[in-house]
Amino acid sequence: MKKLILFLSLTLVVHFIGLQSACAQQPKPITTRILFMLDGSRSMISPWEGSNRMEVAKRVLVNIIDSLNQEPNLQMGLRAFGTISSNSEKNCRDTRLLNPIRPNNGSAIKDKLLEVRPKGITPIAYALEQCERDFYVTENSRNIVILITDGIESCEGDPCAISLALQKKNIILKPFIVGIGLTDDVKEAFECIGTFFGAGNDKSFENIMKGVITQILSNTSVQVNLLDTYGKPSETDVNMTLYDAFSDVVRYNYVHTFNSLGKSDTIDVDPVNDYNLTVHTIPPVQKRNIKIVNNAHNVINVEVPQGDLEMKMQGVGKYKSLKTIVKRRGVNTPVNFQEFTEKTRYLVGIYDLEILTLPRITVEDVKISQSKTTTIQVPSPGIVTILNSDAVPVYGSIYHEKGKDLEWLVDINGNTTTETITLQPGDYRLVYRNRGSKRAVTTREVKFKISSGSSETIKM
Amino acid sequence: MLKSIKFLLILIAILFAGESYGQSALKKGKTRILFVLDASGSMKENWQSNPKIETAKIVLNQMLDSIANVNKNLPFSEKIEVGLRVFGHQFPRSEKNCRDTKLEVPFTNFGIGDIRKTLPQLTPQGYTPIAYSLGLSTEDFPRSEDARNMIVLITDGVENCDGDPCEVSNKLQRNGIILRPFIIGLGLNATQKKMFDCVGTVYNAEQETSLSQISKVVISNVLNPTSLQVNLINDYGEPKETDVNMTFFDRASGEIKSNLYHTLNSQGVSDTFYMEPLGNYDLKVHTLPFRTKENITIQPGRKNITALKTPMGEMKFTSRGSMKYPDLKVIVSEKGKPAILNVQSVNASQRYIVGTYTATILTLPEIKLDNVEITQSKEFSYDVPAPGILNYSAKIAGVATILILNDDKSLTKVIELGNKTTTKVLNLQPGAYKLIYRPGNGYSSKLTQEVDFVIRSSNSTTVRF
Repeated sequence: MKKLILFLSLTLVVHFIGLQSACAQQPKPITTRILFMLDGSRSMISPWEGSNRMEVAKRVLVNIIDSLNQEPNLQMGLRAFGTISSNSEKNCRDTRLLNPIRPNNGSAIKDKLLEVRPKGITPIAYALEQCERDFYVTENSRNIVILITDGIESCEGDPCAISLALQKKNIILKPFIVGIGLTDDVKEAFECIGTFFGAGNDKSFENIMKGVITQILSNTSVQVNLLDTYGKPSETDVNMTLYDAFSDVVRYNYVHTFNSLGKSDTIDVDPVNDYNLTVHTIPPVQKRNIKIVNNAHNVINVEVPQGDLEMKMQGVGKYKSLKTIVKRRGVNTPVNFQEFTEKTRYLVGIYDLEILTLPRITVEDVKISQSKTTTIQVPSPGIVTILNSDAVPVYGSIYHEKGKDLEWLVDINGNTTTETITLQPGDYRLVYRNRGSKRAVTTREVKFKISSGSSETIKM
Repeated sequence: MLKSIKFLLILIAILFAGESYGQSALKKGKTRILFVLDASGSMKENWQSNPKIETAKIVLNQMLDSIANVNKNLPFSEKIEVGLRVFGHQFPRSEKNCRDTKLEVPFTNFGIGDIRKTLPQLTPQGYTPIAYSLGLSTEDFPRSEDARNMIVLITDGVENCDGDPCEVSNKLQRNGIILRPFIIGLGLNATQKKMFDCVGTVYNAEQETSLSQISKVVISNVLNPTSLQVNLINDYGEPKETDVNMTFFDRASGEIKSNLYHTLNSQGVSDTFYMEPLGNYDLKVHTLPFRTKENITIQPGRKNITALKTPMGEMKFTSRGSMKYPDLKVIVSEKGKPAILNVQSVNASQRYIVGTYTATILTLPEIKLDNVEITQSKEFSYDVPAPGILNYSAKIAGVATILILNDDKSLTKVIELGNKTTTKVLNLQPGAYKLIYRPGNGYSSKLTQEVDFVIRSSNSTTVRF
């Protein structure tokens, strides 16, 4: 089975050549790129847990880098800030890429790490901004920043805006921020940059770092169950868009599928982010702020009970095009403009239809039921042919006789010798007058009746 | 001329008080009345106390007396002229002569006397070629501008030749030769009366005694016509809107009385037309949206005037380029109202009452215009971007969804292609799209594929799976 899927995927990839295209799924595993961004501002030499903050950070980082060195499909890099100029110089561009992101460069990073000497200030925003170049690759990858810092931005920059911009441009996933000697009460200042963890002591710092790495590399699965009206996951074959809940960027499109066992299949979703899900039913169904639990099988339940609506009319071809406005009962904005001849799925519920025949037909309280097809039968139209053999231009309109009232339906062209109009069965009146006439009494009218399939001719 | 315009303007000014205002308005100039008398065989028959022809002659003489009376007070140039055309009197019924009609008394200043002299000599005998007789009356009226040419037909039955009196009457009215005829019926039954309704205004005498009353009404209507002028007021308060149909309903019964397409006469003033002075009317002016005026009172023997505000501008949607929509429609609603006002075709201009509208153009995806401003006599025009074509094909039919990339980078479904479809050609509006596809027989959502494509006006794009 796996082989077959792989084969299919490859075949499909071949078809793509020459097209502007991208696969949601790559047949080969995606590379994860981690950029450690280390605060080298002077405050990092502050004593902490019997050592100082920088020393603790270096020790924990070395352990982590060692543990990741053998990980397949993983690349690492190191950027530091505040390590070039002294604090008094207030250098807001004080940042350096110490190790570009490469495969198998664990020992190189460790070497550079040991040379870092805290000196300057904290230009977080500027340092983040440089990531765009650090991650520059053409290949599809997961790019993650882990920022290790003991303080907030000390330059004029806005790290929140920079982070969001990079996420929107799809350069990085939501960053992780680990606060050395910072507690959760400063969380608010960092939350807009990414996911913040405050480490009060060296032990918690180490645990947090390990937790972050686990989350990045975790084996997490997600299953979306599309529930019918009975709460059973029987709905499928509809496209779903997953947006990054933080940046609103589209991350995935999947057509919901049942696997060979008839169950909703498992989709690949990066556990680093939270998501907003849109199921493209009519009307669409949204589920916001879906949290993905690490190292677990996540089941997302969405209620999308659906049924079909179809319309039937003999002789529908007499209308050049025919659409039906579909509205949910009580809602003015249409959910769809259904092509008359296309059977279409809707969420279960009550709808009002307005069929754009002449005159329009309103069908209220149309019930769409689970897995059923609701059929609306529309009477077959007839046609009226208006002959203006003298070709004297006229002003004229067709009116619908509704009880004692006359309702304007449509203006005739009035400037052609023959005009054919498709009408639903009913009683009508053509009222017209020569355009050049100066007397209203020269108005003339012709009553006529249209029945299904009939063809009337009016000689003016 | 100037005076009469001034007078009209004053009237219009009065109208703004919202009142209907009556005023005697017998137009200066010649009035000519052609009496068309039925002398077919059936007129020999007795009806109540006399043969019908004798009753008809009495009625005609009564009307001549009234006209002579009126003429006494008119200057020579304005004296009413009369003529007489008779049909069915020259050939016996057995000859079935459908051309048996003759202008017995042409229009002269001595018409009244001449008719009186001619009447006793008439003997009814033949057929009833009403249409043919009406048709010939074109030539009976001397050609002159501004004359009011009237026909009063006196008959006891309907056409028995092949002619269509309605068509002839309508044609003469349309050509401006005659005003709407009056028909005096001698004991017509309901069916016969109905057949004359399209010829003109029918006054049917159920009995002999009601005839003299009818002749008075007809003469009064001929001499002092009851008329109505409807002024359609534009955004500047001027009565300049026109070319829209007006339906008059009898207020009491709710029945439709007449449809009249509003027009401006040769002086550019709202045309005045005959209105039966019976009861009150409700008026519906078929603008978009329609406008109504209720309870219009018609004062008999006068010119009545009423006014409505119907300021209009135009709305037009155009679609150009080589790749056109086959039959593109636009849904127009009044702003703030969910109901559809009109479904307009592209490339045709339509008038609407001045105001704000919303328009939804049924392209794929649809284009929504939230503020369409219609202003007096101006045209709101919107050029629908020409579509581009998407050619979709898949080796394996699958679930295929087209999403449009919105400005905020979110995705909205445009259309789902049926999952039995392997090819589809679609007209799409210019924009950035995604096509999400999964083969129908796939058991894994990982087989989902995504193609970004851009649609440009009048270009085609192909997406293959």
